[in-house]
Amino acid sequence: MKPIFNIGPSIESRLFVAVFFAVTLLIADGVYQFSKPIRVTLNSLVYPIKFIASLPGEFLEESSALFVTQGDLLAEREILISEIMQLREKAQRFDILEEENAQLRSLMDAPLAPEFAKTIVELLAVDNSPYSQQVLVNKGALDGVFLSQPVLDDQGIVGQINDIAPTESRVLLITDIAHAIPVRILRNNVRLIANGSGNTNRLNIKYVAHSADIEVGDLLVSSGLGEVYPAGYPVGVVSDIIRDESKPFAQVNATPLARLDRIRYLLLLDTQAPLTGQAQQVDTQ
Amino acid sequence: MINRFHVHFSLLVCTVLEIMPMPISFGTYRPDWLLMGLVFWNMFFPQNINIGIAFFYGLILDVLLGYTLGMHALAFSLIMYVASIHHLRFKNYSIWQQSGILGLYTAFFNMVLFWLQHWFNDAFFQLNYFWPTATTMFLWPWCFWLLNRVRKERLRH
Repeated sequence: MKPIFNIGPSIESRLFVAVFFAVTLLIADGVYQFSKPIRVTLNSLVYPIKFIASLPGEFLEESSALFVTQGDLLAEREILISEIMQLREKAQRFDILEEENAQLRSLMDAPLAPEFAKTIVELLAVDNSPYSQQVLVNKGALDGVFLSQPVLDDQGIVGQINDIAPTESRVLLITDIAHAIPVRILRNNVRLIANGSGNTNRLNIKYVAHSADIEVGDLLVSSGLGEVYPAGYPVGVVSDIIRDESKPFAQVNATPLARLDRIRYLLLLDTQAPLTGQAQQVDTQ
Repeated sequence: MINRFHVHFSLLVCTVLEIMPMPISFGTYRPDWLLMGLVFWNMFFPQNINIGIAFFYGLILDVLLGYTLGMHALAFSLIMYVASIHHLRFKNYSIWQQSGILGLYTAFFNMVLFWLQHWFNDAFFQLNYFWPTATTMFLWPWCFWLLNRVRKERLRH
């Protein structure tokens, strides 16, 4: 049965209250970031919904894993073995170079680049509304994940952790519009800032002077400024440069090296606890 | 009379559909399921399902998707206000007219979200942002039919 008269407050006053609360929340969260410390709690509250939403995908994945033929597996094994051989050969040379580099650095009294503990995580879900490019991974606060922890794949930097739940966490990709990463050009150490563009295959490099020495094909690596990403990891390759003199800066785009559209496994770098004793000594100096 | 279990269960299903992982190229076309669900239940139970419920589900969506708290809550509240005022007229339209009006609602909804994103995160405008409007309009007749069955299932018992 439908009541003839309205019950409770009028629709306008309800709207007023809702808008008032929403705007208060937006300002408190968007400007003062009040929800940062309670996000873990909030996320664990809505975890059941997330769990249900992840079921169909997991089911598909597991059932497709059941139907792999032996031939496919053998072929995959073949590829992996050849990859391992190539990497081992590289590692042989790398060990020698690393030692040599350490000696040279100690001669010059320069701090050693610390090595970090790494955790492998698996992708749970992709959140790609046009405004936010984020992925969920399967390790969380219980596994020692911390805020702003750098995330890599096998090619380069993927992004940083920006939201943690007990058993999963959210990675903000470097191409998210809210993300920026300090980089330098490997060739000549020119320092730049690479902003996310909202597209998984493009970074916008802002504030590049028209006279700056930058060319298509230049490799951009993290500069270590900003203290989120350690120095020296590859970020992207400059893909196009438009030098329109009527604009204050040159328009430069880069393509991220990490394959952001086909993420499967990722590496978390534990930048809070460098591995080697030597490196820790350097830190305390 | 309203059966709250059915209403909230279907709204929860909508929420799950909103966050269900999809291949990266389909994400742009994801319809606004929750908006459809809210507009539907508001049309039949305007006294019970209105701005408060919309605000609550908006907040859940904000937490689930990792947005600034209040973004979806504000957008949903505004849409629900417009929908509540026009619910009688909306109910008497044919399904195709409804789908057209719903298109306007979702366009407005996505517009509000874009503005908020623009102020807080410097988002630039892309026409991509309006794909959900098209898919929502397209899916409305089926969604309506399904939810209507849920509603009538209730009435029979």
